[in-house]
Amino acid sequence: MHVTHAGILVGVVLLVSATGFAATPSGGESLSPVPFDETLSTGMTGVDIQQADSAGYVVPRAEVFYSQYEYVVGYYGMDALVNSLDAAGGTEQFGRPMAIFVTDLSGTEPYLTEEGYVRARNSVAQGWVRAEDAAFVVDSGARTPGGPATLPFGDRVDAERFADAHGGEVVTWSTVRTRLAGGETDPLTRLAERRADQQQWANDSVAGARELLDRPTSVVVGEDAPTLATAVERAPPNSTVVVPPGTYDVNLTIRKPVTIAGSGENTVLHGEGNGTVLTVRSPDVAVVSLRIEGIGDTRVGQSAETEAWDDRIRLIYGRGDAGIRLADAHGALVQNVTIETPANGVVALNSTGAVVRDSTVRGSDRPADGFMGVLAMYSAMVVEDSEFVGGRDGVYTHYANGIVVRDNTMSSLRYGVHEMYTSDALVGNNTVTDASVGLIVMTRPAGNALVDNRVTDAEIGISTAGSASYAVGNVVTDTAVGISIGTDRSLYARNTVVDNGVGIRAATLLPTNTVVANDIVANDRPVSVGNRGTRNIWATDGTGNYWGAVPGLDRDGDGTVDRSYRPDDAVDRVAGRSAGGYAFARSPAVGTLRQFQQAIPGLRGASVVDPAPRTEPVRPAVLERVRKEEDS
Amino acid sequence: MTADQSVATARSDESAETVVEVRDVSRSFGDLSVLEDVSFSVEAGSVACLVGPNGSGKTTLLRILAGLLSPDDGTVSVTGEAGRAVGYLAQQPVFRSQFTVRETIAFYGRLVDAETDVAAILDRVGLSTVAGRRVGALSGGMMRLLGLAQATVGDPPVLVLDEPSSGLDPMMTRRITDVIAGLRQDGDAVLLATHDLRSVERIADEVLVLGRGELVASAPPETVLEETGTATLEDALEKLAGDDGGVQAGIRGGDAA
Amino acid sequence: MSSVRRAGEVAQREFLTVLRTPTLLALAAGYVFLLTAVAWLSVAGTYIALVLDLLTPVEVLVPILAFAFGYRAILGDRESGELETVRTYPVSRVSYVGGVYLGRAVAVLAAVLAGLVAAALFVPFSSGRDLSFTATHATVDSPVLYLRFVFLTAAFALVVLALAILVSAAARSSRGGLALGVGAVVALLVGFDSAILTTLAGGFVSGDSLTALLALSPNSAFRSLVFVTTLAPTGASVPEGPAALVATVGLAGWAVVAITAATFVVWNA
Repeated sequence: MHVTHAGILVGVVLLVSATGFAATPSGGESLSPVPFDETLSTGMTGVDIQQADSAGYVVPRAEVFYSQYEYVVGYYGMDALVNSLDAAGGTEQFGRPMAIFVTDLSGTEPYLTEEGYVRARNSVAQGWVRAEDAAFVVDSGARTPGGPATLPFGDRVDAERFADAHGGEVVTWSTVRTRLAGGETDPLTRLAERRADQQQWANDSVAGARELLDRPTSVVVGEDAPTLATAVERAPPNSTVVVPPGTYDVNLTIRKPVTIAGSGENTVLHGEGNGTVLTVRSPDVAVVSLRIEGIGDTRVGQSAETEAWDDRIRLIYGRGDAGIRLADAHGALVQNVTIETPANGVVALNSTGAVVRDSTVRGSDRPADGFMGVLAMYSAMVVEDSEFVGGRDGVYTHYANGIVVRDNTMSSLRYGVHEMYTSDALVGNNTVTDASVGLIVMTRPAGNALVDNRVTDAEIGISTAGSASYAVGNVVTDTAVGISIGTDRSLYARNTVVDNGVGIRAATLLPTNTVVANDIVANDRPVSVGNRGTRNIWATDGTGNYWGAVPGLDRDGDGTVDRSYRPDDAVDRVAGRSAGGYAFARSPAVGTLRQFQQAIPGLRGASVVDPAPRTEPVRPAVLERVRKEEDS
Repeated sequence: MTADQSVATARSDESAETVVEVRDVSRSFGDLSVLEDVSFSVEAGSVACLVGPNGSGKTTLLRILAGLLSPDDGTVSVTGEAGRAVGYLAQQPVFRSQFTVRETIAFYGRLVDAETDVAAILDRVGLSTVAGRRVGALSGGMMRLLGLAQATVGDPPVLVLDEPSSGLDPMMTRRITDVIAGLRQDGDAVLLATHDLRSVERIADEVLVLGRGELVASAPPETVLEETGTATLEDALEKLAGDDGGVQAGIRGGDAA
Repeated sequence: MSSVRRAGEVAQREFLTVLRTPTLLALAAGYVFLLTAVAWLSVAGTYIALVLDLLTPVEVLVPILAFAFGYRAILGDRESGELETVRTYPVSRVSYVGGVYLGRAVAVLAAVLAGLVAAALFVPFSSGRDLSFTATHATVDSPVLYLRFVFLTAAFALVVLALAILVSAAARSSRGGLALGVGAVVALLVGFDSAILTTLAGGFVSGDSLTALLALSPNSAFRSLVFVTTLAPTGASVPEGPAALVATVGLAGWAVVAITAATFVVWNA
């Protein structure tokens, strides 16, 4: 082999590599917008967006290409965009924004509806413009279902024309950034405040509903009336119909505010297998102390072609057979009722303030054969102190914003609590055992709180979605995956996650959650990360989570280990369990490699880093109790 | 032909020109003076043998002639055409073991400007049969032959050979002697250092005797014998450079300048 | 012109010598294997992450490789005596040292580049997209950045090889050469930076002059250049280092000074 030939070869490779200096790595100039539904989107709730889309309202959007994040991030609303750009640690996780595109309303001839929603006469013309080239109309009274809207225009003239017609001020991108910054109050602060209010609201609702128990007796079935139907017919509003022990064949619709009071398990309302047993079409109806059987087995209604985007779900899910069907029954009470059902237990439609408490729903043996224990639609109601055994889901919510589900037990079913299109729900102190998923939040809601629940023996303990949510104080044991995080900008704290296959799964692509002060101990894998390229940093203000024994020492005695812990890292994972692994984790080679990796966060493989692992559990008493239970 | 005949042939060449001219060369290493005022010359087509006891400065003188050392004083002039002026064979020549005999000569051949006939060079030293062999696999004698072949690369008019045949078996010695004779035949000036006085008698046109850094004799062998009144060069050397180097008046060959 | 040609002949001899020395080939193979292993283990799926993963191994392995390839080049000839033979030919010191450097450089670069190319092959194959329905963009990860790293590493290898050649030209014995070589590698890897650290800790230099000082250490200059040219464009906050120009001058200075010095010490004219 001749040196010249080798030299030429080497030279060619060098020349090729030298072209690296001639070419500039994409600085963002060459980037162009992508279809919005291909972005990872955030901002506003799924419900608001569905609503806006179906009504044809314009929601200004943005797309950001981050330098160290390979997915394009989409934002609904300029507030979400600005807040995300300003978020602490944003650049650390995503790199700098290389290009920001915003909706270009120029040419769409936008106008405001009476409510202030934005419609476009020529929506086809809607395009994208770089944020720095856009003119923004602020304070115009324009809004989206999510709140006030800032409207971007590619052409300043169009923006001014819009402001002249609808008010507001035309400003540049930099002004928008300063104006909207911090405008969004911290969702978690808001949530904590709301949670107390919500408990109070639930207490008030329950207290109000319990007043229905004090109604005077007007009719006793069997004495004053032959059947329950005639008894209800004869009873004046705001009185009590007493149903003595016995079995009653019933398919009844109640259309006035009366209280139906049985005498416990011995009072049985039987539907003979036909449809719904009791249908309540009046506010302030109470059904107490009885047992319902013989419910029809139609689980879902017929589909129909209709306008509203969620009609399909309402008609299909909301029309199945039930023990008790509440329709427009605000403030109704179901208490001390036992329901045996092949379909639903209680269905509540448009029944805000209704209360289901101290009741039991026994569903099918196999989830596929049954349906929901309580199916709440458009109803901010309270479900408490009840037991759900078998069937499909314990409590299923559809657009039941503000619902409170507390102090219940659910077992042997698919999902304990299943939230769909439901924001601002409070799910507290429930116990779920033997389920596919203990608590599951689907779609893209916001502001849900899952607090102090206990889930054991499930495939997934708690599965979340949406944003600005809150999972605090839960205890999850014996699951394949303890907590599966699918939210963004949410808080996971003070949870006790013990003896699961995977403690916490970070399934989200946008690593904007706060995961601190949890006790995550004795899981086969503390953490798994679903998506490549996301870097999750799990600590705030210098304290992280408790992982059991982790490599490193607490030299300064501040309660955190000096060395950062990577629960999904091969080395650190074994370090907690074997002395050799512990030693290896302190090898200079591992340390050096890490240092370099830390030089450029966001580009690393999927990972979770706890920069300040705790030396002591956050809730030692809970942890000790749980571990004792696990051992026995 | 015999060595004696060739000597006669060379001598009869009256028009022989001087190709090496050494004038008053001194060289010392630190305080140790190795050469002192050495002067002699070598003609084209002649063989000059440098003899003297160990440590008499032979190698230093040869290295100065080869251009590897510069003299502290005096001048060395080598007349030659353009190209390689002096071919040099070190005392223990070693070549990179990763190359074949042919490659080694070819490499040196490409360092000189003239075309090099590698085959002819190897043929002259009798290494044709091992041309493809790795240098690392050569015997000591073959290595010396390779060194000799190397010294002739570029047809330098002057060859400086440092003990070309020391430690070799008689057959190898003979072959080397033949090569040297051939070189003289071709009109080259050969200056070689040796301890083998018998071969000096055979091939030398001129004997240069070094004793303690001084040239104590510079004459044809027979003149040296004549002047010293000895029968063998061995005795002559003993007399000239023996003991404490009791140097008598220098012996200068008749026509040597 | 003939001096250039002679340098070429010397280069060819050096190149073949490397090719025919099993130890060096094994070393080169080991280096390629190590880089490949690092790339395989990291499976980061991005070029820029690969650069990070390779930076430290390269900083350590390239000097070792370059010194192994270079430190005996002239020393070997000197010890065997063949250097004297070479000197009897019309070869200038510049031609000889230049040729040795060229020939060894081609061999070192071939190994260095082979390792880096092999490592890069893992990137396109390791990155299975998680979400096919989600739009991705190149972020600032780009083969361009890796190419820069490759070029800088090659340049670094050339600088270190120049130092190795200087050691080879200056050493008069095997033992001395080995000591000088090992010393030089240790100095590169630790010594220079430690010295800088000491001056820094001693308060002798300010932060500003530190950047210039760092350029004095070939390793630091190389590292800084990698940071400045491959990591900085990604928007990462990289440790402050000498500006690209200063570091380039520093590296080039080492190479030029080393080769010039080697030319002067190889033999007396």
